[in-house]
Amino acid sequence: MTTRADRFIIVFFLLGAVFALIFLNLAVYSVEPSAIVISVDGREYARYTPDELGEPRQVEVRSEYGYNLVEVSSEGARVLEASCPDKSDVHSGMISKSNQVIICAPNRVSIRIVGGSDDVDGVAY
Amino acid sequence: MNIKTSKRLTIMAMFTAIGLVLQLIESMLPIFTSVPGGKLGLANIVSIINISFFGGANALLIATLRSFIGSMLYGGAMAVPYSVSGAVLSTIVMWLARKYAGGRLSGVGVGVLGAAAHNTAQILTASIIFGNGYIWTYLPVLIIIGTLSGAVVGFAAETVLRKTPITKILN
Repeated sequence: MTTRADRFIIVFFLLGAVFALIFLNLAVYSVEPSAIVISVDGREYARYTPDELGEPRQVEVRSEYGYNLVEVSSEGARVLEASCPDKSDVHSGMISKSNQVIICAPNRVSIRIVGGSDDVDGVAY
Repeated sequence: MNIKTSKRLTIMAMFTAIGLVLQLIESMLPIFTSVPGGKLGLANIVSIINISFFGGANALLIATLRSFIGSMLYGGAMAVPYSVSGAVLSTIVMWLARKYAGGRLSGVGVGVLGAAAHNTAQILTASIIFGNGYIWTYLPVLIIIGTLSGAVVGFAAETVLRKTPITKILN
């Protein structure tokens, strides 16, 4: 009972998403990481450069919005514990490539790996 | 208020409640949790049906109410902007799709467009709240999940629409 237009839309979105993922992996995620940045409510909370990172280290992120326990290391970053109900940030697992991001929407926390020298957020503050 | 109007109002209230129940069921399913915003969108079944039964403006009203109450109940106040922006934009897009595509799109296509609109609205909301654009990198994965779930949701809505004699119920 699907029409031609239905199938066109489905294929269009799936192909578009796959191309976007390929583009992200080739162009966006492949640059050299320059820092791990933790932000709360749009403001920078902590920043770690690669030479500061080695063995896994735990960072407590506390704000009026909630609590997250983040682990940062030379491997990347992940969320170990979170006070938010859905825990999607914990389930996101480890990020290790430039421009990858973990967000915890209820707590307004984002953990991002900054890559290269074009740190867009650097301009905003 | 005549009997017909109050009957219509009652049925619209019932559909708001049905949407809430679907949203509750969905909040209990532990799926797709590794991607924020990735979900089935079961309540969109009701929105698609509402557009045909009560018109786009009423469908938009029901979707806004349903997503506001539902996110307050199941997600907390922080979930409200995501849920409401998603419900509003997806209902508007599905309304326009129904209006201008006519018979060229079935419920499946409408459901997929609604899901994509829902994902886009939520990412837009997140990028405003978080103040950074990197959240858009979530969109491709969300679109893939949304396209598949949107097709299923649209199929369910289309099936209900074909089997329900709504004009008989409303009159």
